Amino acid sequence: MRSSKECRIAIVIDHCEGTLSHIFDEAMVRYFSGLPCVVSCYQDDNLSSPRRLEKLVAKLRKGKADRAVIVGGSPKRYEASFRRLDLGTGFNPYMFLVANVREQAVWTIPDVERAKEKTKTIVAKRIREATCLSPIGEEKFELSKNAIVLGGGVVGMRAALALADANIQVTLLSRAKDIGGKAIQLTHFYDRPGEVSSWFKDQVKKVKKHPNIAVKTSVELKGLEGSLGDYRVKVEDPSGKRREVEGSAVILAMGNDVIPNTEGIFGHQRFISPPQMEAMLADGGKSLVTDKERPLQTVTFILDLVNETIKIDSANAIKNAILLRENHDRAVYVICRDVKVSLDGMEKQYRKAREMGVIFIKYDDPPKFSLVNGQINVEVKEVSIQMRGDDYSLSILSDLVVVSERFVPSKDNQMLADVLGIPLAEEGFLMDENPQFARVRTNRRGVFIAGGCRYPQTLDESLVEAEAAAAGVTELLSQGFFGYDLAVAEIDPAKCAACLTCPRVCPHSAIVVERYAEGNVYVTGGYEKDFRWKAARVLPMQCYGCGICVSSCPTKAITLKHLTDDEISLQVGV
Amino acid sequence: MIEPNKAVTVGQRPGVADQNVLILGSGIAGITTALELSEMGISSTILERRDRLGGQAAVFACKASEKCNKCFACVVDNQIQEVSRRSGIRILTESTLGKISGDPGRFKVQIQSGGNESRLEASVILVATGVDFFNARQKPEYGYGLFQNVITAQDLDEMLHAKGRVLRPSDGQVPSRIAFFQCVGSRDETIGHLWCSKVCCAYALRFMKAIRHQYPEIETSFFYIDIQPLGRSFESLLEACRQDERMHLIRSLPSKVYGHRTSTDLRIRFIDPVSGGITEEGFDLIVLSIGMTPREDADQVADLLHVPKNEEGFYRSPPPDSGIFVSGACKGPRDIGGSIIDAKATAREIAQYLGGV
Amino acid sequence: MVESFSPRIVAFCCDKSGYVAADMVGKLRLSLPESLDIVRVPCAGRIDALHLLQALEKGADGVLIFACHEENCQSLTGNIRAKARMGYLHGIMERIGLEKERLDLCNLATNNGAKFAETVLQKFDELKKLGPSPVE
Ligand SMILES: Cc1cc2nc3c(=O)[nH]c(=O)nc-3n(C[C@H](O)[C@H](O)[C@H](O)COP(=O)(O)OP(=O)(O)OC[C@H]3O[C@@H](n4cnc5c(N)ncnc54)[C@H](O)[C@@H]3O)c2cc1C
Ligand SMILES: Cc1cc2nc3c(=O)[nH]c(=O)nc-3n(C[C@H](O)[C@H](O)[C@H](O)COP(=O)(O)OP(=O)(O)OC[C@H]3O[C@@H](n4cnc5c(N)ncnc54)[C@H](O)[C@@H]3O)c2cc1C
Ligand code: SF4
Ligand code: SF4
Ligand code: SF4
Ligand code: SF4
Repeated sequence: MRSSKECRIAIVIDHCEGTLSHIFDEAMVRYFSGLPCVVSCYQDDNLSSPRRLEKLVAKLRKGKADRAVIVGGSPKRYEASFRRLDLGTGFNPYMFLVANVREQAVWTIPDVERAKEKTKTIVAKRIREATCLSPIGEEKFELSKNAIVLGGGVVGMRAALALADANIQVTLLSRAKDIGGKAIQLTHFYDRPGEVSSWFKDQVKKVKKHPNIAVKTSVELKGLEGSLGDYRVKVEDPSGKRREVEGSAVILAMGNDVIPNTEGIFGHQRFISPPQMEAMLADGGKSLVTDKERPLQTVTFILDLVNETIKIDSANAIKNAILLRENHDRAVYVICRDVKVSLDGMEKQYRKAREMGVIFIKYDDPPKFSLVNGQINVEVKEVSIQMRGDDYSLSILSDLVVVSERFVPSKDNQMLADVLGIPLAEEGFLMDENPQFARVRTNRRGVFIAGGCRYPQTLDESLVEAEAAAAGVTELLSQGFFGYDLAVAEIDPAKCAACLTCPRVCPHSAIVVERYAEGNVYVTGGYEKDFRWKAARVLPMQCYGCGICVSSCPTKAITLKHLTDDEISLQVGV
Repeated sequence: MIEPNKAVTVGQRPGVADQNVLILGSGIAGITTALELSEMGISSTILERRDRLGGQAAVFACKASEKCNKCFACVVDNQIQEVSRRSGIRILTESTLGKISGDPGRFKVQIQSGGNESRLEASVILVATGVDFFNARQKPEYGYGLFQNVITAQDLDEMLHAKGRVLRPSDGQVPSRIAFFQCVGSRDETIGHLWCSKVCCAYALRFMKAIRHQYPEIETSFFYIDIQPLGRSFESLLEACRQDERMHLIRSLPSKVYGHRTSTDLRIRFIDPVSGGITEEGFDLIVLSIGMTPREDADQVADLLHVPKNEEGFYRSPPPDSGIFVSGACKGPRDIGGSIIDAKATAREIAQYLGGV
Repeated sequence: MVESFSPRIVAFCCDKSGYVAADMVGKLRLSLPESLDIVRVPCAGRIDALHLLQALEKGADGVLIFACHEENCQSLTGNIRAKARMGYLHGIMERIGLEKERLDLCNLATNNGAKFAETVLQKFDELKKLGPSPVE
């Protein structure tokens, strides 16, 4: 803390458009002016306007003050404007403090005289705290306009195209032999009439032809490291050769895995998966009659045994049920816990299916299956006819039963989560649904998620995510550099015991401890040339300034530049 | 030093007057688009009919129980704060659109703010006008407006937001039995609303969880047709609701509510799925989970800007070269998170339209 | 006239939730005790056990931490760490004979203005009953 004698504080009274004028009477102004270190006092009517703030800064620069305390509304009113104050000509944004007397005194203390007293206390405290302020600078570094997209499904392709169109060089990495992913199995979408394969082929062609996209298929993911502007993905090709791909930002779009349900009776050939159903319908229904003993007359869809809160199966079943009725005149049952209609146009599709004679049965207790003369007997209690007695259940003899595959997280999610420090949700999908991250962002700057690796959704929903993730990357890279202020944590290497606490607790993976080979060792300034120190270091461009590391460090080696321990101590005092 | 609003590296599209994007509506979709555009160095003007920002979601309450239930309401709060502080985003409240002339990329727009009229040039117009809440009076059998203790989810939201409590309107007491009626104004042939509003199952369940957390003595019932999942955390939410013994999930929609104006024992009639018979039960607060409908003036705006509509009356995206974009719930019901990512995607499209970012 | 005891409360508020909720209290024009001091921190995880002790030492009759709801923290674990730290401190307080009620945590969101006010007032009444902090 510097001696308070050196500080020259300007008090700036913001009347907040006249709403606080009754508080800032002459006596109050006199009181402010009399506080220690206060060298000047200005008044304004509305400082939340950036232009007014600029004018004020011009005045401050002419005056003697080197820091200012704004007395007015919530700091949130002013802070964004502070950030825009030009460093070269103006006042450092961190040399301002705000005394929030409007929200914390005037509006919450009905009695005017008492509110005035509280105003005085708040301002006096802020003045004391102002003596600890020091300017905080800014830095920027160049970002090359390139990005990595992991996963070559529709989501990855859409993201890659969006980035490439924005003149960002994209490397699209996919494990499969070709790009396309799961959607390639689909021949119809419920909400896109007719064939989708042409739309789909068109997408694939666009990706392959785009000059800004380099596609690398048949690669196995081996690792991912780095930080914004310098992410490196390690991949291995089938011959076992490893290589590194570099990019300023990363979009994870690895999709999800599926596990077919083949246990016990589900292994019987009359049980098929939704993609198998899709394939049977793709050939105009020829395979629907290939069974020699008996034509496949009755088709039953079983939903919600798995993936109960995922809408894909339900959408798919309704779509294919309609096709089976419309084109092939089969008897169709859809047995589910809840019909998922929360998709654009799905309510109408559901009604259409019912009108066409598809029978929907809803259960609370899962149906039972048995083999009867080569057919599958599905026994189920429909919730609305349970009244006929507890034993009453429906028996549906089916030639074909479509059971859903279980959607599970991709097996790479765990590895990626570990190396990137991104939390996995309980079920293993990437990133907890924390509203602060608006779905596609992660806690690691420059890494975005979209599609099935986040959560299996229908195509339209997934594609919007792809675009949103691409928008996030475009935004970061569009300026060609990343600027950040240094209101971050800083570690004093001399005090650091390299206990590895801070890298572990940092939620944004912003701390590294260089402790490997000699060349990698972090050499701190101020020591003899050969003196090599093992210490933790904050990567300022990754740091969000949360201060978690500061309070966790056992040796108190870390300082949060914009809120030091001293400043907090002064605030908690009387 | 970064000047987010100065450093425009976006190439100028030939013939684009200046890169001012006019955004109709300051709901979460409009606000998010403005913020995203500003990150990319594109300035915008937000036009809002009302006197405050944030659209519908601005007055939603937090529905956390022992932990956050992912309703996204607080995200809207953050975004409102952020947008009112950014320069490069002009905000005109209590303003509406007048005449429009000019061509795509160079629209000339007349704006009415209060009694004043002003003009503005816009290279792109974004329609993010959102939706209306369903007017529960259109379902007279539930007695909204007639019985004081029949309220809508929106009323409940506003009550929780402003007072932090759940109280019976008739006497200001904490209720003991609350019923939620789902699909009010959605999935309903009698009023021609053949769509699911997507969010109401989730918000009602969150409400119940939050209320049960705050008032463990309250018993809640949830009357529904089908439960619609929403977002990834829904599975655990639903599971928790099913586990709760004082939260009853009943697959049946009540047909009618009986009582008198200030009744604290409103009788409802429904088919009990367990016994199969017609049953009556009493509740002292009934919450109608109202859905979303196209805005009252949706046709007007659509005609003015030549925005196509779908069968339900929500907007569809106009052709990309029209210079008109659509985003958010006006395209059809969606949740806040969905509106946010839609807005991000739209911002990118706009940037690209303006000259291939 | 004898002034009745007005407990002094220090409230550490996370900038992302608690502080905004405190602002909302003002916007709703609800009242708060004059003896409430608000300390703004970037994240509840910034609060060191030391700061909590300091507050109690320097004359606070009660300390409140306002953090984000769990699973809604921009720093993922800030709120959980704060809670753990409170637990740790409760242990210490017990040993030195300080009532645990003097340190409490409340999870809230930006739009929980009413909850903020209610929590503070409740604590205020509770502390009134407890009496002044025995710490010198
Ligand atoms: C049976 C079924 C029916 C469906 N029906 C419909 C429907 O009717 N309507 C609708 O809208 N949607 C439907 N969907 C959903 C739709 O298919 C998905 O939303 C979409 O395919 C998801 O795409 P994605 O890119 O996220 O994942 P995927 O398509 O799975 O693509 C993932 C890609 O990533 C690659 N990959 C995985 N791991 C790695 C790694 N570690 N490194 C590199 N590459 C990797 C894979 O090889 C693959 O190419 C259906 C889905 C299924 C499974
Ligand atoms: C009862 C209810 C509860 C909900 N609860 C949740 C929830 O818990 N979680 C969740 O995620 N979602 C919830 N939702 C959904 C959520 O409200 C919407 O997703 C979201 O508000 C959509 O935002 P928007 O920006 O598209 O539209 P809106 O919020 O409707 O904003 C549109 C704005 O445009 C303005 N406007 C309209 N026309 C014009 C015009 N011509 N000129 C100028 N301005 C205009 C309007 O005044 C309004 O401010 C709920 C919806 C309802 C009905
Ligand atoms: S917690 Fe402190 S001592 Fe441990 S590594 Fe980090 S800075 Fe060093
Ligand atoms: S302040 Fe927060 S984000 Fe920054 S290094 Fe410390 S823990 Fe990580
Ligand atoms: S429940 Fe909603 S408002 Fe509350 S913290 Fe979670 S997302 Fe925010
Ligand atoms: S989300 Fe639920 S309550 Fe809302 S319309 Fe759909 S089914 Fe009905």
